[in-house]
Amino acid sequence: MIIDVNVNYGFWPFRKFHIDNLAKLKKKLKENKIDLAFISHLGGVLNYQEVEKYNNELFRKIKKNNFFYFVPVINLNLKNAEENIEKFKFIKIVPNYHLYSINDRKFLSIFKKISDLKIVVFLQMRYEDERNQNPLFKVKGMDIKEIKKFALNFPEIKIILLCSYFREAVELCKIDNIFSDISFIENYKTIKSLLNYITADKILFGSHTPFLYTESQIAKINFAEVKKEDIEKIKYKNIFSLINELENLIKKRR
Amino acid sequence: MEIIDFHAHTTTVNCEDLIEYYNKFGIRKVCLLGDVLKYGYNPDEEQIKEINNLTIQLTKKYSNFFIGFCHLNPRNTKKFIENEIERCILKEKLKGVKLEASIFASDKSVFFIADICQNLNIPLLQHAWNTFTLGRNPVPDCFQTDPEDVVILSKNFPKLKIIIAHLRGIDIRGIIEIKNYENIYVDTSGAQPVSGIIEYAVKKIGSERILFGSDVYFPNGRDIPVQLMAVMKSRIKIEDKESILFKNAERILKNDN
Repeated sequence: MIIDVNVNYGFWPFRKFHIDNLAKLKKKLKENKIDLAFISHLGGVLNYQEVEKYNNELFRKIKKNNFFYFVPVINLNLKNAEENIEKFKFIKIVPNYHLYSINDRKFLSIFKKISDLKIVVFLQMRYEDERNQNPLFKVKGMDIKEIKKFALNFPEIKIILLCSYFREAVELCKIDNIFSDISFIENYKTIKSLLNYITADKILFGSHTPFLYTESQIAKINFAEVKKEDIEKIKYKNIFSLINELENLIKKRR
Repeated sequence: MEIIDFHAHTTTVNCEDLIEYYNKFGIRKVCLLGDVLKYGYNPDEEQIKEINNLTIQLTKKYSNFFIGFCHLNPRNTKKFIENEIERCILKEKLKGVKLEASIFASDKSVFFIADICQNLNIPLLQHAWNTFTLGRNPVPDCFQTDPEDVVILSKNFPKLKIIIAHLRGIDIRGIIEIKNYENIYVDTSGAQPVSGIIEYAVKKIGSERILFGSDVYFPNGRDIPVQLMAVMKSRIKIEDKESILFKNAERILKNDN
């Protein structure tokens, strides 16, 4: 089984996605033997005041689907964010696109609630390599010092980094409550080299489709040259551990 | 299909693990461009010699596998550059020249090297990126060549085979810039396996001008299957894939000195 924790739906400026609808996304992921995909709407990343509209749109489209798991994009700056999060087991935040700091004191209460409710936070480090961004659309990646401070302030919040670079993942995953997907992690024999620094318990499979070729991400695990049990953790066991209900939910849906 | 990786580096003389890994994916030949970042962006003459010595050593040790490129710094003296080309290309049979970020490709000092390469009929592989995003001179001594610089070089040396490195670095803007210059090729390396750019390049400049490159920097750098899959699984015809993965490289490397 492979669970993909990093799939995107929608439009992105200056990039033309061939995989531009849910049917094509599902087909591509299934071709790559991915059984389930956590998916978010890019519209809510770019239209920071209308996240709910895009969340609702995607939720409606996939609610009868047993392949996609809806990950709401939450803009903490919006008035109703705190009440909105109550209904979710996991959320995605994109601080550098929604223009705030995760350590801003005004978010103490909402993060306290996230911590109390044991909501898993997907933290988007970036969507594109900063060196490949269109010059008209440059957005910095997340600052790792800021993430360290946040993670230590809220040790009960489980944070899954999406699109972290190799060195960022190595440094941040030393902190107990931080995990990372593999989509932007690359090195000679990616997984084997990553496991020289962090344990397999900290790594999750994420493809960042359709930004990146799904097959390139699958190649990282198919040619990993590490123990089978480590690969299984990366493919699905770690996300099961992080989101307790997920395993049962999957059984029910099937 | 015997794939050729046109863009690879290694820092070590012991490459058994690397070669075994390449073999898993049907990659049978690899262009070694040297440990070009070992001494930063402006290596002196002794440092250049040391970098090239490793490449020469590797092409001898693994003679059926590695094809060596001579690394040069256009800011070194002309006399040294001439001697190093004579040593590496004519005597030691390296097959091309690699330029990094010592100076822009449009600089007159590069013309001196380009002229020799054109006369010897050997390819020149030039590092490049889109500096609108990266910055033209991001750190002291680092001169990031833009596709426009390579175009200037191409106009001055129309018979020189120039390979502009890093398709995903030069991106759409770079492809548009080089489109009309038939002597400019591009390798597929650079950054994450971003979807769509290979398809775009094939559409705009044709697969005959694109070469597979991984940018592995053994024992680090990019991961070979990750980079290879970006070509293998791109939405282009099988003939185009064959061109990119080995046919173009074979054609370019055929030149005997």
